[in-house]
Amino acid sequence: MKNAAKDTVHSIHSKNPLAMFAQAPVGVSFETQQKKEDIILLLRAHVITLIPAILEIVFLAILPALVSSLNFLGINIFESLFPSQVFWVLLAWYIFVFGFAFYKFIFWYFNVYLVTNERIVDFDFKGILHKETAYANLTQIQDVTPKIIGFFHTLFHFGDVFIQTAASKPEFEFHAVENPDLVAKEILEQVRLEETEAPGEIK
Amino acid sequence: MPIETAGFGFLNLLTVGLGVKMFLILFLIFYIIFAFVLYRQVLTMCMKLPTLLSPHLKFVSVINIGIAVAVLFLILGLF
Repeated sequence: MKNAAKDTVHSIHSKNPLAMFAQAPVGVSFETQQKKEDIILLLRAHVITLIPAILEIVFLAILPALVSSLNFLGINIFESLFPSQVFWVLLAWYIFVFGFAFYKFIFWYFNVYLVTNERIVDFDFKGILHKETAYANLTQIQDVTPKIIGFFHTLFHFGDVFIQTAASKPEFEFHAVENPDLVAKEILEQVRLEETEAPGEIK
Repeated sequence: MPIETAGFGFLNLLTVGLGVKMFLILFLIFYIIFAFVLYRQVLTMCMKLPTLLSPHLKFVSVINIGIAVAVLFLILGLF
């Protein structure tokens, strides 16, 4: 009973598509997934890391009101335009704000780290024109180090997990993930299980 | 009020309106390119990592392009 209560990773199937710490997520797969390969953990950066982006979006959303009320340089741009023109300017602006918010969301949503029963996968979405995917087999993992440094990291219990590998990418970094200790423990557990399997076997 | 001042005021209003229109058109053209690149990224990532949210994300990115194109044409015609 005690062990079952402790084993939170294997007892839950996460159905939340926005989860930042999803155990065996339902409805998620990836391009190169093998037949018996199961996703044990799907990780995203902690939702707290979105606060700067949310502040930027709020600032952009209230910027037209600020510009019109503060009267920058003694010129009120909205007074120099007809009301219909002001409408189009504001509409174009809020389309941009929506696009920016959507981009920030996509950026967070697709920066995903996966732990499967065969390997770890790092989907990096570093910018609009930069995406990267890295894989490392569990047997190539040499060292796993969870780190929680900083006030907010300690308060909300999130941090980085550094994984040294013998793969082509020597170090994987799971950035700002929730429960880094649990993630490290689970990776090491999967490595231990993988080592008991015959080469090429998938359980 | 001198006639010249009144005339220049009207001209200024027209110039500002025209300048803003040109700016909005350029802005929306660049935004549509950005929205299209975002759509391609969403498609690629949804193919690499299909999730329950993938169809909704594709829908939102298509709607984003559609609204931007519609607003561009409306500005060209109505502004």
